[in-house]
Amino acid sequence: MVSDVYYLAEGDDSMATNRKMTEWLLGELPVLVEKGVIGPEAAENLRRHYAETGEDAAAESGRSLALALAACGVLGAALVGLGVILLVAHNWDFMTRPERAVTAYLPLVAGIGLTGWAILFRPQSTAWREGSAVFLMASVGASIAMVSQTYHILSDMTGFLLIWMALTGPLAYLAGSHMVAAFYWVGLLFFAGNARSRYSVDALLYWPMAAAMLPRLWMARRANPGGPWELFLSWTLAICLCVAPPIMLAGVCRGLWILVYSGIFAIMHVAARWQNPTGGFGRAPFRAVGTVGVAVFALILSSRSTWTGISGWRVEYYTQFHWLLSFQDYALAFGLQAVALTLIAVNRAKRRFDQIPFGILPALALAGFALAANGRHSANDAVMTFNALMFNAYMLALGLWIMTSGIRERRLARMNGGLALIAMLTFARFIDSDLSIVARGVAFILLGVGFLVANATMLRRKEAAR
Amino acid sequence: MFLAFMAVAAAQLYVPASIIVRYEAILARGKTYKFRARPVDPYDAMRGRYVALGFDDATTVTVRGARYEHGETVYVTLAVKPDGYARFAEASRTPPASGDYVKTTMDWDYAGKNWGRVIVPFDRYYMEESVAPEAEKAYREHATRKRQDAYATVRVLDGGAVLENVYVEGQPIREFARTVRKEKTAGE
Repeated sequence: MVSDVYYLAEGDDSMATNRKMTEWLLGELPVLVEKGVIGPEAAENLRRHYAETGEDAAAESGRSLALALAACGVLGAALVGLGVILLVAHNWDFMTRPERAVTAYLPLVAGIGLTGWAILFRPQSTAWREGSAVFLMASVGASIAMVSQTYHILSDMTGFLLIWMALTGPLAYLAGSHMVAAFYWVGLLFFAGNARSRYSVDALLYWPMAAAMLPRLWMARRANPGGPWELFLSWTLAICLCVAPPIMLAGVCRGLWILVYSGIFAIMHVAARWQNPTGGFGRAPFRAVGTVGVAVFALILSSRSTWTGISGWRVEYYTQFHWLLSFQDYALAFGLQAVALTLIAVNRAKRRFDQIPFGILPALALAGFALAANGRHSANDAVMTFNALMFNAYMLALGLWIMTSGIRERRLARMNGGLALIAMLTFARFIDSDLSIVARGVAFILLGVGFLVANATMLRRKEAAR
Repeated sequence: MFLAFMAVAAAQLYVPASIIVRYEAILARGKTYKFRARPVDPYDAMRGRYVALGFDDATTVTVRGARYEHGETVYVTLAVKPDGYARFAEASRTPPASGDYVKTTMDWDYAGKNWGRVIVPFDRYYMEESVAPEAEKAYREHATRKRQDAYATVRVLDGGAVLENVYVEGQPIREFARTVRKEKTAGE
């Protein structure tokens, strides 16, 4: 943090110094031309060059200011909106029902007025559009909640959240608000969780409603590829997609979550190459989540206890599984598998072999699931051990591949990522094994020495190359 | 774009209004039923702003026809017991031809035994947070089997039901809680 602050301060200082030096140089140009040090043409070229650089800097500075203003606007609006919700939650007893109705409408009318004004008169101001739309979103929730409390009908949280999101989601498009889109995705998760806890089939509305906000991400990308709003929405969606399966899956058949998660992470890793394919993880949210997801999920599957928990094909027959919820479970599991396997085939056909180590996870998960589901009771032990060994081998191979490709491409972060994967695997196996403390100690020392030697060698090579 | 926004804004204004109109109509023209209260499961994450209500044997209903799924919409007729308190009587998939009924959802249908349980759509009584805890305590003390002097009045009209008030010792719970709080403050 301190170094970031220092870097920013240093950045500001250097910008100011550059500006001063440019002004000095431009002031010197007539003298230099007069003395014949440079020709008039060269002087003109220099003037033009620094004028363009100055415009670029001014535009960049303007964008930063707009973003900072938008952040302040959204924060202010969100705080006021939350305050309104809390005031409503107090549920003032002294008010009569008509007074409550008027009070419920006050923030709503203010929010509509502000957002309408922002759309009509401040369409270019991100701060106005984002801030007013977030405030209106909070107001709609507060207004419906207050009216529902008046008639004691707020126990139906599922209906409340559904109506709230359905009424405010369009603001993401109409007011051009990215924050509303993010809150909408998160709000939908709460709706789905609430509906699922009541075994309500309405939970399935989550998928089409969440998908309805995808064009907003595409629009943010089109407006400014790789820009802050695209990244913000991408991070939000990627994280929401990780949280959604345990909420949405009805659990009609044990172990389907293995197929769902392996599919989601592999697809995110392989298919998200449209987003900053060569840059760091910070600017490629889907690839970052997919990569970390594959690694962590492979680690989970490398544990024998994961497989013993799902052994045998077990379908739960309870009345609470509406047939649509059961269909959703199978559709998600096998649909995601189909997409992931197709992606692997496409990458293989296009000879993009670097995608295969991560993309192969769903195929292995499907094989493991099929074996575990078919496992007869007597053969269960062997199957569980085989599955666990398969994923230990996969994770080790993945770690070694990442590490060696990092060394080959001289990318320190990548090499260390591979090493970290191997370390994670080792750590996990040492936790659930019966090896003595001494043996574990020695293994960790060896692993640590490996880390240090690999890093030192890599740094030396980089130095030599320079 | 602005016209589309106006359409969305109109929907945002319409929803609270529709709730107000619907429930005001029930309060104005609905028939009043008394439901005897019973203690409720003490766990609830959102406590502090309302009193959670339970109703003595009111949720058990007669079920006829094909088995119901959990969460399925049902129409439940109301019956008044000899002691004057109401209870849910019979659940069906269509509204009854005559008499008052409440639209709600099925909780559990005990297959083959012709009875089941429905979810009560009026199980929370919202109050100001300063008195709600006191009111809840009073409710707990008075809804026990020994005392049984807590009950709720509910207005019912065309399948809709609104909780009108909750009474403890014959007094509205709001006033009861305030009196208890005043007595406590005076005692201190």
